[in-house]
This record gives sequence, C-alpha cells and structure tokens, in this order.
Amino acid sequence: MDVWEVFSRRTADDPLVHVGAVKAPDLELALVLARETFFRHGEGVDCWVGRRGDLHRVAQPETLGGVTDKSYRRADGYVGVGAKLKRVRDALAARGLTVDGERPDGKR
Amino acid sequence: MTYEERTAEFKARIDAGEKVEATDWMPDSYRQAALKFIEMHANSEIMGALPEREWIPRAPTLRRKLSLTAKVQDEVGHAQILYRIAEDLGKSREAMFDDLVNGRTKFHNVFHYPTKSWGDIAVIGWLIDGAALVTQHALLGCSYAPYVRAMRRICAEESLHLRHGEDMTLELCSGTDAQREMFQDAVNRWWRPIMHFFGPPSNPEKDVLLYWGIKTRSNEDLRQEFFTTYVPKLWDLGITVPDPALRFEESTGEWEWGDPGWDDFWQVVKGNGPMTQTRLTWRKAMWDSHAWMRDVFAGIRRVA
Amino acid sequence: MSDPRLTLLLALADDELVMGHRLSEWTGWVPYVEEDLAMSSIAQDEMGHARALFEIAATIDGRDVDALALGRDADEYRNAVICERPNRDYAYTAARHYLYDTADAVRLEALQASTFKELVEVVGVLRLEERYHGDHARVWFERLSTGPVEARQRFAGAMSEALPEAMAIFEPLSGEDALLADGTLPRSGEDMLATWLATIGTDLEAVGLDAVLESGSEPTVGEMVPTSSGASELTDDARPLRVPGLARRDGSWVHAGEFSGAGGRQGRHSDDFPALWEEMTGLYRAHRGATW
Repeated sequence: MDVWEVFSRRTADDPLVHVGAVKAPDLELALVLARETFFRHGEGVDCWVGRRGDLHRVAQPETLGGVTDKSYRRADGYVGVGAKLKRVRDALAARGLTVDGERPDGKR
Repeated sequence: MTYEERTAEFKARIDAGEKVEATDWMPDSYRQAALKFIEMHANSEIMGALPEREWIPRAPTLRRKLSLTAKVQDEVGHAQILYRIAEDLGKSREAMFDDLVNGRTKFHNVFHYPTKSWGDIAVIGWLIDGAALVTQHALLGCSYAPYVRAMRRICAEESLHLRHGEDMTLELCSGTDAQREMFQDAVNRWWRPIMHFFGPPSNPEKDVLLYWGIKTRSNEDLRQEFFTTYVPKLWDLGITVPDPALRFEESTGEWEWGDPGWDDFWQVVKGNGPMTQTRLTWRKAMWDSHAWMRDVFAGIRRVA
Repeated sequence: MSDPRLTLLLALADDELVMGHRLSEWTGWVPYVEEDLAMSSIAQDEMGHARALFEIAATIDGRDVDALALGRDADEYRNAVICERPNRDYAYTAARHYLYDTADAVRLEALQASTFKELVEVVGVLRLEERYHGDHARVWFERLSTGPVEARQRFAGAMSEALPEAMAIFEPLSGEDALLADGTLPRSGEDMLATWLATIGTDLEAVGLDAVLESGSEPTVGEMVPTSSGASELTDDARPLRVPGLARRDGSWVHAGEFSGAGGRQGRHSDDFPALWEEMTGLYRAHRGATW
C-alpha cells in the first residue's frame, strides 16, 4: 500500500502546504480519504495528493539559502535602513539642502 | 448552457470577488487578457534584468556586487514564476521567448533605457522598484488566483529590493558631491520614464483588465500614490524633481504634474526606445545560439 | 608580499573573485531561466568565498576587503588565467565550471588539514557550498557529454580549450616551499594536480571524452553533400594537439613538463584580463574613500 502526501491551500491566495499523509492502495481512494482526514473542519479550499515515491528530497537541505554570509538576500541585511533614512534626512536638513514644497500631510 | 450564459455567470463570480484557478472554465477574452498581461509582466522581468546587470561587473564594493547580483537574480526568478503561470494559460515558454526576442510582444517602457552610472542603479532600485511595488501591491487583489499567489512572493522580494535601493540612495545622497550629483542626474533622466511607467491617464470604463478584475486600480490612482510616497522623501534628501509643474494641490488632495513627453512613450511602445533594439538583438543572439541547450532540456540523449 | 600565507590567500581569493565575476556576467542572460538562477547563486557563492578569504588576508595585509578585491593594480592579481577567460557560450562555461570546481574541491580538501587555523575554519564553510557546485557541474557534465549531438560536440571542443589552462590552477606559488614546510599548505600543487588529473581522467573516460586529453578534439564530419548516396569528408581542421604537459602512464593521466596557461600566480595575465580589471575596479578606484 502506498503512502500519499497531502497538500492544502488555506485560501485561494495561499500556496500549497503539506498537511500530512494517508495510506491507500490507489489514487482514487487516496483522494477520498484525504478529504475527511485533513479537511473536515474546513481547513482549506483546495487539496492535492501525490505519491510519496514521486516526491524527492534535495541533497544537503541544511545548506539551502547558502552557508556563507547571504544576508544581502534577506530582510535582516537591511534592518538599519529606516534609521539611516532619518539620520541622513536630519543631516541634510542641517546643511539646508532639503527641498521645500507643499506635502500631502500638510507639513512643509 | 450557452457560451454567453457561462460568460455571464463567470462575470458575476468575478464581480462577487471570487478567484479563478487555471483549471476553471474561463471566457476566451479573460484567458487572452490574463495571458497577455502576465506574459508582458514576465517579459518585463527578464528584460528588466538587463539594464541593472550591466553594473554587476562594475559595482563599487564587494557587498554591492553581491547584493546587485542577487537582486537581478530575483528579477530573473520573477520571470520564471510568471512564465510558468502564463504557460498554464495556454502558451509555451518557448513561444513566449520567441515572440519576445523577435519583437512581437512587449515589455515595460522603463527597461528600454541605458544605465549610465551607479546613480541609475540606485534610482532603479529605489524609485522604479518603488513604482513597481505600488502597481504590484494593487495586483494582490487580482481575480486570477495563480497570479495572486505569485505576486505575494514577488512583492515580498520587491520589498527587500526597495530597502536595498533605498540604502544605495542614502549612501549617494549623504556621500561626496560627486555621488550626490550622480544621483540627481539619474533622477533627472529617469523621471519621465517613471511617469510613463504608470501609463497615460486612461478611461477605466474601457479597460478590459479592470472589467475582468485582473487589475483593480487605475493608472492615475497608482501614480498619485507614488507621488505621495516618494516625492516628499526625495525633497528630504535634497533632490529636486525635474517637473516644474509638479505640486500637491491641497484643495483637491491631488498632485498636479506636467506633460512627461508622451510622444517619447509611444515611440518606446513601438519598440523605438534608445536600447530596445540593442537588448533584443543580444537576447535573440543568445537564444538562437543556444538552441542546443533547449534540446538538452527537452531530454534528448545520445544513445550510449 | 613577504608573508607566503598572503600569497596563498590571494591566489585562492582572486580565483574565486574573478571566477565569480565572470559567472555573474551570466545573470540575466542564460537562455534557460531556472539555470540562470542556479548559475547566479554559484557566482554569488564564489564572490562570497572571495570575501571570506580577503577578510583573513586583510588581517595580514592591512588593506580592507574592498581595497584588496577592487583596489589593486592589475599585476597584483594572482588568479589563474583560466578564471579570467570570457564566458563564451554555455558549453565553455559548463566545461570550465566542471574543471574549476573539481580542482577547487581537491585544493579545499587538502587545505582542511592546514596548520593555518583561520583558513581551516573558512575552508570548512566554503566546502559546504562547494559540494553543491560539484553536484551542479557534474549534472551538466553528464547531460552535455551524453546529450544531443551538438551539445556533446560543443562540450568536447570547450573541454579541450579549457583543460590545458585549468591545469595551471596548480601552478606553483612563489614561496610554496615555505608554505609546505610549516604545514600551511599540506600538499604541493604538483601533488594536488596528480589527484585532480586522476579524477577528471576517470570522468572523461567514462563518457568517452578521453580523446580530449589525448589529442584535442577529433576531426569533425564535414558538410553532407545532398546526393542520393550522400558524401561527406572529414574536415582537415582537426586539432591534433596533445594537452601540453600531460602524459599517460600506467593507465592514468599525469602531469609531465611545462604548464600551459601559467603565469597567473605570478601576476602575469592574458590579454583578456586588462578589460576585466578595468571594468571590475574602475568605479571603486575613481572614488577612493567613498562609501556606497
């Protein structure tokens, strides 16, 4: 008997997420069983199953996203930018470089 | 049920805010509009990689070299996601690439211009990505569900790019006089293309993309949001906007803006932008000279 | 450059920097989108590895990472010439990628046993990412060498161009004796070269491309004359050159004699380097002291 991995979409806007697996001898039965095993409380709007043997794991998953410094690819590489904006703005204002003009928030 | 009845029922679903999946029935006009729009978006991501990638080899620090490579890589990644979705609407990626490199389909006007300095990279990373993010956020309400899911991922990455662009901008604006001039000069050259990016004011009544809920907001609406977000920030950084007519009118709560040279825009749309032919020629040369690589991906093997 | 450890670090870092620089030029251009993403990550890894190595070099040299990476004169770069060669097409890129990454794997494995603690730490991290590069390179090696006729032809041609120059990755470093004596370098370049040649010799023989090692590329079959019986002659522009400096002894490939494509470790580069150097370092050098 095969193991069938079950995937759910919580809302139409969400990606498929793995929610568990069922054992069944064929696809038809797997689809019938997956429904009531994982969706009886209305957990999702969409359900997919795939035979475990058809799914394959990547080598070295622990190195996904890189091992050396890849912070430039992630939000944590840019945490200081908001504060930097304020600092630069204040410094430029102090140098009298700010451009004057009517603004939506009423400030000039 | 007749085609007309099914179409009416489909339209009612869209108007009720329901989402469409690739496997659902859809009117031909919906399918064509969604495909054309997503294909153009995909083309824009892959062509949008070119102006920026010119500065990867010239980046002024190792960290910027890495971050710019990663940023351009993300644009290529967006193209991958979007071409995949477009394929599910009924056109092969090969056909889409073929149409692109032979000038039969379009890509966004902003990617038809040269990048002349590192200032351009900051402007693209901050203002053009900012403009793109304004329009892309609006697409999260799209009626075509696979596109919404793609846009969720893409918007998350674009937000990161925006930080990256803002960071580069702040370094230039707080840097040496030469760096400040580099950025101001880039703003001066890119402002009109950015105005063009939002498109000419259009009649929402006639827009088939609005009719089908593929997009949800008008050109002018998005442009106004861009002004409100970015113009005050530019002023704070001591950067002038090269549109003497640009001003916020308190009585209407709207920004007034001057003619950004729509003739130039239409020239670009027709494929006569300053870099259109150069970039398409290179892309085509690469595509044509690597047909053998597509055979590899097609799984063709030499029988051993 | 009196400290031989600096010579070693710059050779390693410059290889990764220049290789990464070249590979990054593919970003946005690879004619298959998913492969574009894969190659771009490898380019970023290589440049990131350069950065990690420059960080150690900076503690010896005194200049900071960017000054080392982007601020040196052209003849101060110590990368092997193979790294600076233009990408040409994807077949050449894949062939060089395979040769470079298999060579790098041999080198990093050896350095794991170095007495230079800071380097050993970094090498351990780099090897985690290099494993993926090896996997990626081998997948392409296999697909191109057994794939469509044109792919195999291009790959064989590219391999015979790249291989002689790739041997010079193991060109002796100045001060190599001192590095070997104190265990900074656990194995000589010559010794590592032997290991590498054995590896690639086996791989090439397995797919019937050992002719590349022996005699350059085979003559190609010429234009087919379109008559009922057909007619085709072997073209006479075959390249019957042996890979210089290579010999076959007792069933395996060994280095014998000179290095072709050498000079990089002494700062003597090919005609392809000045343009690369100008592009890579121009903006940094024009605004020394600026932050970006």
